[in-house]
Parts: sequence; structure tokens; C-alpha cells
Amino acid sequence: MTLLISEVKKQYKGRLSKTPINALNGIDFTLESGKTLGIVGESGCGKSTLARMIVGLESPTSGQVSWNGEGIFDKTKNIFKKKHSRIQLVFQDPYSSLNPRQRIGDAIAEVVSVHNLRPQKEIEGRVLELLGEVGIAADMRNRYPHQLSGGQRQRVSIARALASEPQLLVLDEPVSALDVSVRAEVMNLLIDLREKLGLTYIFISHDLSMIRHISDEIAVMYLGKIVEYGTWDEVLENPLHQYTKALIAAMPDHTTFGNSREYKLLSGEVPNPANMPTGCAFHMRCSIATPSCSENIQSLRDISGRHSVACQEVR
Amino acid sequence: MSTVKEKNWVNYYFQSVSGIVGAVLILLVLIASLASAFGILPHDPLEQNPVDALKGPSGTYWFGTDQFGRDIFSRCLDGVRRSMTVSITAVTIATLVGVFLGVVGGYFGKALDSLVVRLSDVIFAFPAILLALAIVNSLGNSWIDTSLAIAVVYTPIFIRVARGPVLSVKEMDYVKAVRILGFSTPRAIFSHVLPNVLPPILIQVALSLSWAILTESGLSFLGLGTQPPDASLGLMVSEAQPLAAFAWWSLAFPSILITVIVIGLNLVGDGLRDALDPARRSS
Repeated sequence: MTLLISEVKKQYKGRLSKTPINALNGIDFTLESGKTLGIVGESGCGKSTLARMIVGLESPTSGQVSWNGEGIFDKTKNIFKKKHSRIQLVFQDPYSSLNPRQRIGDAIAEVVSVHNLRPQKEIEGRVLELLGEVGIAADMRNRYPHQLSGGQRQRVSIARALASEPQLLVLDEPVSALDVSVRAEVMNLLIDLREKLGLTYIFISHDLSMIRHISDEIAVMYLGKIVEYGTWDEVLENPLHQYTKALIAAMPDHTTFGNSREYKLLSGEVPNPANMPTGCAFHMRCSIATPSCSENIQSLRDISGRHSVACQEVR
Repeated sequence: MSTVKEKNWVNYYFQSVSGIVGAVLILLVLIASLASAFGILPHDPLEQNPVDALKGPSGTYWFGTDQFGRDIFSRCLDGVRRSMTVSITAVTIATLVGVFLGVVGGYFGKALDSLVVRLSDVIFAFPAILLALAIVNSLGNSWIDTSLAIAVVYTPIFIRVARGPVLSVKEMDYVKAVRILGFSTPRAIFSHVLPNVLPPILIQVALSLSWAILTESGLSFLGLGTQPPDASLGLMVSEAQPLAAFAWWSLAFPSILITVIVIGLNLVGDGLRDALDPARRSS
């Protein structure tokens, strides 16, 4: 089983303005089952649009998304309409991802019963099993979401996603809304579940330190494009793209204190996606840019094995 | 697994003081309506008795008599029944039609939504009583015609009350989750969107029931709606206006009944809102 994303572009048309917003400008990657891909990038780089597209909430303007050889947006057999989905999403905000008028156990039971995943008699047992898997005690089954903490709600969201027996789980900043104290717990839970259930993850975050705990591979996104892709140790130990270097330089480091470490901050702002720069989208902020960078559009090219970068200056 | 017996929303409803008071008031009103429907009244509401005209409240005539010597207590009960019938019928129709159009328009958006909004704008553009007058005039004077007229006038209110919250609820992550989970659209609408837009609708139902009673009396006052000699609360109030100075009871009792019904319905609305919202329940 493989997730295949090829040439995916997404444009949003403004209601009043004529110029479209370019949310995704040609995304290409494949993800083998059992692996975890971490996607990093700052706000507005298209991470969440990509996540919504993989689960079928948004359709691409052009390009293909397929899981297991089945196109997600084939008109004839939309895998999201015909049968229960093997791809699920865990949302960022645990306060809006659960129906406030539904008991948490009922939310999970609904998934199991709508898709006939268990005989009627076994549904309740399955609900408690799923709650147990995410570390929610059985006596909380009849609680409403407002009676739970943020961390507990996120666990319930994960359990609800697991209830449909997914193969691929898209995690859209699953811990960024949580207290620092419960982040590690939820991260460890996700890692345990991956081992136990043989899941494939796409883990989206703006926080490199979270990504490196869980990912096999990392994709760095900038303005709707992947600018660097590779195994996490390759990308973090030996970053090639200037943007990746800036991201890593901005990571807080517990080995240094005070101002002893120099942070190399990027200058300038992210360009307006409705008015894309020519050539490489990063050239105005790049320290190694040459005049031709504003002319040549960059796409990913392999540097070594599983490490590729979209930069003409890298040899 | 042994679970503690679950409280449902009915249990929660009767934990609130306003819910209990409202329920008691409305129960009394309904009993009065039933008594009148089955003819269990101390006097015939239509029987004129000129000798006893404009008598104050007494053992024989509990609420006194009007200018024709008719028993006001009996007429009040009969009026309550007539007013409640028209009001409940009208609001039921308006709620079903309005909520359906509002939820469907809000959820699906686009052309369907524009159509629903324009339709309600057209109806809103007419002054309520004028539109109701026109409809009653073209349909007739029976209680069902009056109900239909009031229903048409009140439908756009329900479209608005339902549509607004749907627009925000449908963007919530839990509704998106329902789509990702592959649930059908009817399930998304009825199990996930509708329960979350219900509280304002319920309050609107309670308020509209009381407004409908006032609209019905307005129509009766203008000679459409309920026709004399039949009694309706609104008609009784308007008939009693010139008598109020020297026969206070003829105006007071129907007015008090309207007030009781309106307050009762509002309290029921409050109680329902609290009981149906898990986050407002005090444990």
C-alpha cells in the first residue's frame, strides 16, 4: 500500500478578487505503508490544505492523489462516499473536533455501527476496547466532551479515527493545541499505536522537535511546495535548502542557555500566495540566491538516496 | 459492565425551577383546553343571559359575565382552546417548514440557499399582520385558514433562526470529521448539525407560540380570525376594551390568561434549552 501524490495543485478563487490564491503549487511524493512522513512548514504554507486533500475534504485543482492504487478523487468510485474510509484525520483543535451533544462512547459506537464493522452485540465491547487503547478509562464512556480535558479529548478523537480501522492516519498538528505537559503523552500514544496497529502516519507540524520524535521521513514545505525531502536524520543533520537551515536554526536548544547561541533569523516576509514571485519562491529571502534564481522554477531533485532538494545552488 | 442508570434530558428538565413552573402553567392551560373540548364547562360559552349582564365574579359566574350575560369563565376556557389550537397548529407548520428550509439551505449553500433566503426576504418585506390579513381574506375564516396564514408569516423567522447557526456549525471540525468518516449526508444533518442548532429553535418555538396567540387575537379584532359569537382570548380582550372602566373582570381574566400562557411557554423554552444542552446541565 502506498500513498501517491503527484503534481497536486490547489488554487482558491477569491469571491471578489480575480487573482486566485495558490495554496499548493505542485506537490509530489510517495509514502510507503508503515512509514511516517513528517511535514513541516510555517503557517500558510499549505500543510493543512494538503492534509484535507488526502482525507478527501478538498479536491485538487489538478494532479492525482491515490491510496493503495485507488484514486481518492475518481468520480466513478469516490472511496469516501461508497464505503468507510481507510484514511482518517486527527484534527488540531480537540475542542471543536467532537460533537458537544454526543457522549464520547456514542461517537465511537456510531462509527462502528454505521460501517457494520462489528455485530450489534459486540459494538459496546469494541467501544471500550478502543477507549482502552487510547488510555481512556471505561467509566468515562458516557461523558460529554466538555467534561474532558484537552488531552483526553484528543485521545477520544484518535479513538474515533481508529474506530473506522484506518490504514493511514493524517495527524494535523495533533499536539500543538495541548499543554506541554500532555504533549509527550499523546506523542508516545501515537508511537505505540503505530507499532501495535501497523499504521501509516502523515504527521503535520510547525515544530521540528515534535516531528523528529515520530517521523521516518520529513518534507519541508514553503509556499505550497516541498523544498526538501528526505529521511529525518539526513534532513536534520545535513540540511541542504536554506529554508530548512533557517528552520533548524530557529529550534530552541536545551544545551545552550541565555544568549550564548546565535539565532539566524530569516529576513523578509512570506510572499503573498495570490501574487507568487517568479522562479524560486524563496529567492528574495535566500542568502545564497543568484540572479538566475528569480527565473528558474525549482523542483525536487535527488541529491543522494532518499534526500532531495529544490534548489539549483545545491550540488 | 454495570452502568449507573442514565439520566435523560427529561430528568434534567425537571431539575430546573423555570422548567417545572412553565410545565405546570402549560399543563393547566392544556387541561382547560381539554375541558372545553369535551364540553365540561359550568355554562354554555355562547348562552346569552341579559338579566345577568355585566355581573362581577361570584359563586355562579366565577369570572363574572360580559355585556350579554355570557359566563366569562366558560368563554375563557373556550377561548384558550381556540387560541391554543390555532397557535400550536400554526407554529408546528412554521417550525417544520422553516427549520427544514433553513437547515437545508444553510448546509448545502449555493443556489438553494439563495433561493431560500430570497423567499424569506419576500415574506419578511410584508408587515406581518397585513400579510396574514391578505391570506385569511383569500382562504377563509376557519381556524385552519387562520393557522395557515400565521404559519406563512412565521416561517421566515424559523428559516433565519435555523440557517444562521447551521452556517457556523457546518464548518466545525466535528462535522468535517463526519464527512471523513464516510457518514451519509442525512446522518450528518440530523445527528450532528441539527442537535447543535436546536436551542435557539426551541426558544423560538416557545416565543412564537405566544406571539401566534397575539396575532390570532389581532386577526379576530380586525374581524378575520375567530368570528363572534365564538370566543378567543384576543377577541375577548378587544370586546372588553370599552367595558374595562366599569367591568374590570371582562378585560382582566382573558388578559391574565394570555399572560399566563406567554410566561408559561417562555419558561418551558428556558427549561428545554437548559435540559438539552449538556454543557449547561448542573450535575
